[in-house]
Amino acid sequence: MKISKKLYKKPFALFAGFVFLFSAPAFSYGSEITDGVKKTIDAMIEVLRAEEWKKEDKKAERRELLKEIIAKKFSYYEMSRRALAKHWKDRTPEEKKEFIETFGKLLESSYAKKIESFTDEKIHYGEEKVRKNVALVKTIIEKNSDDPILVNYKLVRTENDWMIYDFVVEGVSLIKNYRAQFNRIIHQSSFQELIIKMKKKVDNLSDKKF
Amino acid sequence: MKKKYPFLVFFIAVVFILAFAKTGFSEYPWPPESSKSTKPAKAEEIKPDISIELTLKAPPPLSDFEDEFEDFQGIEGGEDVEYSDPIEPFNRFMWKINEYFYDYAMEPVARGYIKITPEGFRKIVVNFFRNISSPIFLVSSILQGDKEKVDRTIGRFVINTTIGIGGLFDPASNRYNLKKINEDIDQALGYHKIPNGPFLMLPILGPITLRGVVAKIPQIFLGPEFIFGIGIIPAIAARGVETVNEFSFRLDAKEDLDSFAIDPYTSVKDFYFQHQKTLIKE
Repeated sequence: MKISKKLYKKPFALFAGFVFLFSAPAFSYGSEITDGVKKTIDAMIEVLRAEEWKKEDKKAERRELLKEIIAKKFSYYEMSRRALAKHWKDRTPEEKKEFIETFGKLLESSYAKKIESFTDEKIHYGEEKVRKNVALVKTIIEKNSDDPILVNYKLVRTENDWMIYDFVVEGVSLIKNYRAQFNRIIHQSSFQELIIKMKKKVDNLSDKKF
Repeated sequence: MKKKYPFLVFFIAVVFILAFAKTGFSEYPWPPESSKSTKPAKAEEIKPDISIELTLKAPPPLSDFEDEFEDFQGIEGGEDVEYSDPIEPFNRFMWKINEYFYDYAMEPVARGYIKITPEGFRKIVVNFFRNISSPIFLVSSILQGDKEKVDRTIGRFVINTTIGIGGLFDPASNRYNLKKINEDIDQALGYHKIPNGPFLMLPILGPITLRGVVAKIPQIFLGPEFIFGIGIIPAIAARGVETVNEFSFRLDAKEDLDSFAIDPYTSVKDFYFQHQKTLIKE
């Protein structure tokens, strides 16, 4: 009798433990990714709406703060790999490092500028899809009576976090667009020429006041 | 108590699951779909047996889910998508001409237009021209066999022409939740997998493909100029107003292109094709 009771308890306990252990992460897994994107965007909007950062003499500092927030959630390594695509494997480690740094600066300025134009937009976080180690978070940006804008974020799972590797605005992928440009420049000239052009663009952006 | 122990643990587990389910989904407007997918992609599941291969139907097209991640296949070794651009030197020359035209003609006119016209008026102009393009939306939707869009086009046209006072306003979107439609004959041809043909950069008109040029021909007969017998000069003037009005909403996009593109011509070309693909998919 005692033996049969022990045998009876174990499967139930194991089953309950299994359900307990694996169900919670499965239900919270999806929202964790969207939460991460939301926190980053909310942090940027908070900076934009804070009165202290609206002053003219604070704009440069505000831009740097936005770039810091962006750098924590954007994986410049993953973006660089995808933007160079078939040209990536031919690069030396030094070239890759230089490219990631330069491309990262370009992306930071690009995204920071777009987010700086936000005023009273409402962002709705919608559908989320996950496939192995990549995820897609869909958002809709609504502003007054303008047509809503669809912005999708593509993320990849890294060691520490889910990091953004692309964003797609109204069906147009930023990384695909850059990939087309980089491929063309490398074919026509060289990788070194591409780096020179990118650095020139980054310098122009630093000089330009937004 | 000892006898009830397993049931108690099971009961707590079920309550925990239900509590997490509610917390996880309640915060967002659209409840997320199934979070972590443990199923392999459809393409990986298809392993046809040779003996029954001939009886299998063609594999289904990529779902939206897979299509959105197709670029993942292009990392470090995949083939880039190449768009046909056999007359690229000429197109680039036209692009430069257009840049001068936009920077020294269109942009100053658009900025002046913005200064003298309130945003509400400019939206009325957009609504009006969108409404009179309904025959084009309708024919394109019919050619694609999209019954929902056909119904929506007719519904939008009737509501906006009547309640919307000749299409100046858009109660179809704002009050009746009938989403805007953006269709043309070029998209219908793309839907039926007719190739784009070579890319063209037209003077003033901007990027298009050979398929797009061909598609414009039947559209002439669906436009209000032909339907209402409007003369050429008034028609050109009206289209001029429409173009300036539309450009006034895109000044930011032009600025972004100038600021962030390393090769603006290639950027515009790629944007055009990606955008077309999205419109056709919709």
